[in-house]
Amino acid sequence: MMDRPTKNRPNSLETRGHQGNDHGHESRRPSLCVWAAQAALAIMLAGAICLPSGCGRGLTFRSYDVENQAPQPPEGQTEEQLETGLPETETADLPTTGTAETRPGNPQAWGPGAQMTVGRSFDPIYFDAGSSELDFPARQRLKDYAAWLNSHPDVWVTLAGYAADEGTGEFSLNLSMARTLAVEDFLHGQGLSPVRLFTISYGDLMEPVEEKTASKETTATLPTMTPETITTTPTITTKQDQDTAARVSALDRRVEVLAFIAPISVSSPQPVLVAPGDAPQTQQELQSHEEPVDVP
Amino acid sequence: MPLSAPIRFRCVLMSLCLTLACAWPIVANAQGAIEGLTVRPGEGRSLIKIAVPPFEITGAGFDKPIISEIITYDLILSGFFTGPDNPQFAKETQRLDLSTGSIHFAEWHRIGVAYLVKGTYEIKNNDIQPIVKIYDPRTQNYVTGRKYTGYSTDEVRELAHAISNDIIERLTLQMGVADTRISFVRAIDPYGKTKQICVMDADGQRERALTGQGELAATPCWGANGTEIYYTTYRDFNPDLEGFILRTNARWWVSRRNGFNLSPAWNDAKKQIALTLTKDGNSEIYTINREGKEARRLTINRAIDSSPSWSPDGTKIAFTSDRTGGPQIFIMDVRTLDVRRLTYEGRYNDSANWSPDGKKIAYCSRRDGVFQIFTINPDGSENTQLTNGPYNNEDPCWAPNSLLMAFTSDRTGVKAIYTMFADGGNVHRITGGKPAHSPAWGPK
Repeated sequence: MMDRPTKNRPNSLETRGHQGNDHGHESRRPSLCVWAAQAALAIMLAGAICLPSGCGRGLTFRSYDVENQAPQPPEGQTEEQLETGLPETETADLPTTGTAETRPGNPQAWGPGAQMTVGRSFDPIYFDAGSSELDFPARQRLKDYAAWLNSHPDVWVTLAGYAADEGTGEFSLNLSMARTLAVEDFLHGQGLSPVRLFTISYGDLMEPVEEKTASKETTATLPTMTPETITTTPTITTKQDQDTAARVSALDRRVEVLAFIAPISVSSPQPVLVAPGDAPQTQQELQSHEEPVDVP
Repeated sequence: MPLSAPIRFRCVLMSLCLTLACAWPIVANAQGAIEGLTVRPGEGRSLIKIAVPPFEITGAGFDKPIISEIITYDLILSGFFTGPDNPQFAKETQRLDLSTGSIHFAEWHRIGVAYLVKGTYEIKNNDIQPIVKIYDPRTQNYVTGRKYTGYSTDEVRELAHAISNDIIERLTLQMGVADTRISFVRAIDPYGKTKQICVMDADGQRERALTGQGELAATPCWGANGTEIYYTTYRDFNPDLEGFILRTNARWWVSRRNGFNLSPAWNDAKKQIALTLTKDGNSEIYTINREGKEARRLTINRAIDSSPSWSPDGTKIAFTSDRTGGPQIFIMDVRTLDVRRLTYEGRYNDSANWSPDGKKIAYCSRRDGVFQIFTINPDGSENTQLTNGPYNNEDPCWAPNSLLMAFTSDRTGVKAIYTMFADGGNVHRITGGKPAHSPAWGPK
């Protein structure tokens, strides 16, 4: 009679027959220390599977069915690396001004002498969703602006970028800045002095507003978000799109060009260093309550 | 050949030692936790039914249910507990206990209460001194208890949160975060002219605005010692970084460089702020100190590099970059500046937030046109979706215990702050009213 395999009956002392012995030797009754070692191994394996890490503080999470294996960098992708982090010099860190009233780019900062009306309108520059690239119509429009601005050196410009409803709040802020900088770089390339150009970007922090019609003389003001302004028909010349949703969506992806004339007497504000020691001392948390006492 | 007795003895001894070494953590854990309590969250995580009836004022009748209500809500928010099956029956049982002067354990057990918290307190010289005791209705045993002193009657919330944390830690062995705070952005007007940085308790109470009307502010983060907050404000017609000390209301300009001073992230180990600056032509990641000095540029490329999040030990930064065509999460070694990509699924991944225990990175990913929250290991494994539904879930941030998360969701049509357990369960809304977003959970 063939004995049943004793693989699943470790405590059995009936051990004749195969036990998975590779050498086919006649089976022997395992010694006590072998059983003890096997039991210890079983407990170790059980602990490794069931015991959470950190003595009861570990977590298990649902596994997400991921098709890919462990992620590898795409072939040919090169990560740009710095040899060393570049320390900034003091002069490179200079902020542009020190007071709210004289912050450049804010037309209201130039006082009663500033003129808001410059004599022509500047339609916004529009972008494709998720993009900060200037398309051909945008570049043509900016060339027109630059030519006019170069012939009117007393006109300064604030570029205000938006990127509403395109993604997360923080990335939208950065995208709107990328758009603003793209317009600024292009205008620099057309000969406009950096002194006359100011940038600000709002991402999706501000709700979109429909622009004023191009037929009216543009009053260069900062975007004002009031119900009264959401009435005029926008003049989008890059594409003829009658769909309201598409029109509003396009308004979310724009850089506004706000021109103003600065008073002659105002000079460029001098940069102000952030002086050491300006930041208050860090605070320590106070332990104001007594430790509770265990109640037997 | 059979083994000799001495060798057999040594084998047995070795095996016993190995067995004890493996079993000791189980034994120690069992001794520390309450017997029979399952506290490990994950699949099949069950909530513990706990009852916290109104505390009794010694010698003066019944108290206002304020302390017990705060505690109950803290325990529910923790993700470990839920209330009794029948709240009305619980109230009647409490009345019965008070009228007879004894605890009717069988009645509490009947409604499924696993732990009963009974509190009494007296007020002495404007100080409130509660004694809190926990009972097990099933075994009718007293489990544990504590007496609290040093809290004035103006500090009822602080007291209640301290009690909640003790209950959580005693019954689950996990850190309670009931006494922590969350900073966030509140949109005050519908046209975006005012977005305020606010701070509230982790249960959504005691909201306080740090910035003023007519001011746009964004991306708050907690700073040194958890006593100050850094945020971006447009108050001076440029997105500048400001610091604010909560206790004194003192504020100072941390960074007013040209362009963006955005998305600060503080690391206590390094005493540095990582942030996004655009002063050199596009969005890049830098580190500065809280005085705005010692600037060090960490990224150089034409792409947008933004939204840094430190690893707890300050050696790595997770950040967003569109260098591969669309926003993805990358991890950078701060010392060597080596960068590797972390996310490969989804075409838009952003808002990385490293858990305080260093084990997980939460982020949001756009799927089917809306954002959902995921977690992933720093090595890129175990990419897990936590939220779903046809609405946006964004801005994840970890609680100090790495078990809870706060995030923004527009599931009701208005953006609000929610909390959830790290497995995506126990979702609770903690803000109401005007839109709120961009939470940052403060440290303990």
